Amino acid sequence: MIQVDGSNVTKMPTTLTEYYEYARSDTFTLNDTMQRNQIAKKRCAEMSWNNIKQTDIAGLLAWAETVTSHTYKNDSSSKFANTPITCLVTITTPGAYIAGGSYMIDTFAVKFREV
Amino acid sequence: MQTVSAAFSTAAAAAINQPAFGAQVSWLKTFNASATFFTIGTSSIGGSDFIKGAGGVATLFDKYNYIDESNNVNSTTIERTMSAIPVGIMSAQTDIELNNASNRYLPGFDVTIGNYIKPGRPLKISMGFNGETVQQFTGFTQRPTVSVANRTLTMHAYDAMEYLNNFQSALTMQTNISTTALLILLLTEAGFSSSQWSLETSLQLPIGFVAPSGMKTGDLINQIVSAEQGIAFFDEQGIFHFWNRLHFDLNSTSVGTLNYSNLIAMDYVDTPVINDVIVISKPRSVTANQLVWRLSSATLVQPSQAVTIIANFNDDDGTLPVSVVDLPLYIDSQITSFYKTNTASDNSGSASNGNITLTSVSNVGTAYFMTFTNASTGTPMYITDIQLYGTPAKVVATYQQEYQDTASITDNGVNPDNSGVPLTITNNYIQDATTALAYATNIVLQFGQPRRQLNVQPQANPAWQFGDVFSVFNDELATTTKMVTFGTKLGMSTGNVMAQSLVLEARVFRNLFTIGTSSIGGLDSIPA
Repeated sequence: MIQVDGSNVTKMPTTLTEYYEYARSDTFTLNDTMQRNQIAKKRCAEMSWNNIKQTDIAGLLAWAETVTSHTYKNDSSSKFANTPITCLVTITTPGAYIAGGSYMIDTFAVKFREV
Repeated sequence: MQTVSAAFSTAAAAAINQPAFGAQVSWLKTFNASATFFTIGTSSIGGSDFIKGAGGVATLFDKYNYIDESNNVNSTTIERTMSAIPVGIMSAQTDIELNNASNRYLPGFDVTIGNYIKPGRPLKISMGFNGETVQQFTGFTQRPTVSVANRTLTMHAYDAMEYLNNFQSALTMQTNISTTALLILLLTEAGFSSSQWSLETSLQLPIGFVAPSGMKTGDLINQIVSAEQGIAFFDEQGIFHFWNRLHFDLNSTSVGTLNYSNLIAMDYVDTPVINDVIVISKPRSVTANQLVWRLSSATLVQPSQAVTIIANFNDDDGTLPVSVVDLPLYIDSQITSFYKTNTASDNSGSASNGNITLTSVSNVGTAYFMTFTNASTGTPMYITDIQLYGTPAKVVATYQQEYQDTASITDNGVNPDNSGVPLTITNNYIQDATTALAYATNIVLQFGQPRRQLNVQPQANPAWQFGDVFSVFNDELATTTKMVTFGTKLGMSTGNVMAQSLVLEARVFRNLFTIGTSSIGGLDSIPA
């Protein structure tokens, strides 16, 4: 089960990808020997939902737009199992909410990146 | 090459490695002169003693209390380069950018360091692999820039040479002193102790006369080291080094091989051709006691007042330093300093010399300060004459030595990289004609023919240092060239985790004649 901020996610995401982002550089020498310098890696998770009710979108936007961190845990995953990981979230849905109008989207996507 | 563990060298050459880096700033600049290496049972945890690293001695910079800023480093670049002719002083510089997302570096924000986001903060940077880092830079920061929009703090910093460049010496005049002994005096005056320098032997005659007082220490060091054709610099740990002109002949052991399997890029550049050099020196030396100054016009001293008269010493060669000035007395003499007094400026009144006392004198080398006090409460007095006798440090000889490489002139023309005129070097700390000729000869020997210079980017190893000798193997030519590192640049950023570039120069290495080892008529040379 996926947990965000300690609670189970009731509506499972339509898509979910989990991966690492690296702080590293690869160098290739004149005879093509490769060396990889790697300082660090960060766990990332991207997920999206289709067909979300517009009233729920407002709540999701308010949740995602805060500058505070959120925790993410996915016991089915090799990267995020067992221990909640503190992440910063970024809304990745293309298109946007128009101020003063109705919510024009019915999809929502978000990226978690380990702090 | 800095001393590192075998694990460090293995990691540097490994196909996959994990670079590590550290940055420490002494924002509050608190200094503890007694701080030393941590000793179990003596030092207290949280106290000012520090854990010993790769360096063998506690340096001036170790005695500041630092705050670790490693987790906020966005990027840093450390650079060490020398001019085309590698003599004189070399100073390292760095640029560092810190992440200010938390406003930690916003002036006035942080309760501890907010009031200390200022220039002149001691800074240390280290880099390495797998948690083992070696010191790369120790120095003082320049004015910091805090960008609110980018949430960053950027700083430029210079090493301790900048500290010496701004340090004004008050050292007394020195006579017949060797370069090494003078360096020790200058460094001691600037606050360094004997474990914080490593000096090679001076190879020229002792300097006849030098008046450091009033000069910037860095500028004087540059001149005296240049006169030796040596190099002076602070290493990564903050230790001062003086290398004499034979350093590379005696230390030509290669620290490693660079070839196509560990070089990312390699650019061939030629060094400038210098085939005609003139070296001029006008050394000074202390001469016999003689008249050095005379008062030009009578000076009035009002009743109960004091007047300071400044004698500035000059001769045909400009400012004249005088090592000892005889104390002026009220006598009429031609063999020692004296002054004359009178109630009238034209000596038509009475001498009344009891009214005037010479209350203080001070010799600052090129000037002599005399304060005369008029004890009379009603009679204005004139100092009508002063003649000062002393031992001036006069220019005793002019050495002008030229050396040309005729084969190179035929091939390249006279100094094509110096507008076709001979390169003239003037340095009055060169003490004899032999050193002047050796200076000219050595430059032409090194630069008479365009010599290979390589700008290379190796797979980075932070243990490599300025002055390291490498064997560079060109896979296509199948040739090995021994080259000296005269420039290093080491950087890190999140996009380019560890990047290094080196400027390497081919050099004429000579095997020096060693008594008991070399044979007469053999290939080894006696140093010029």
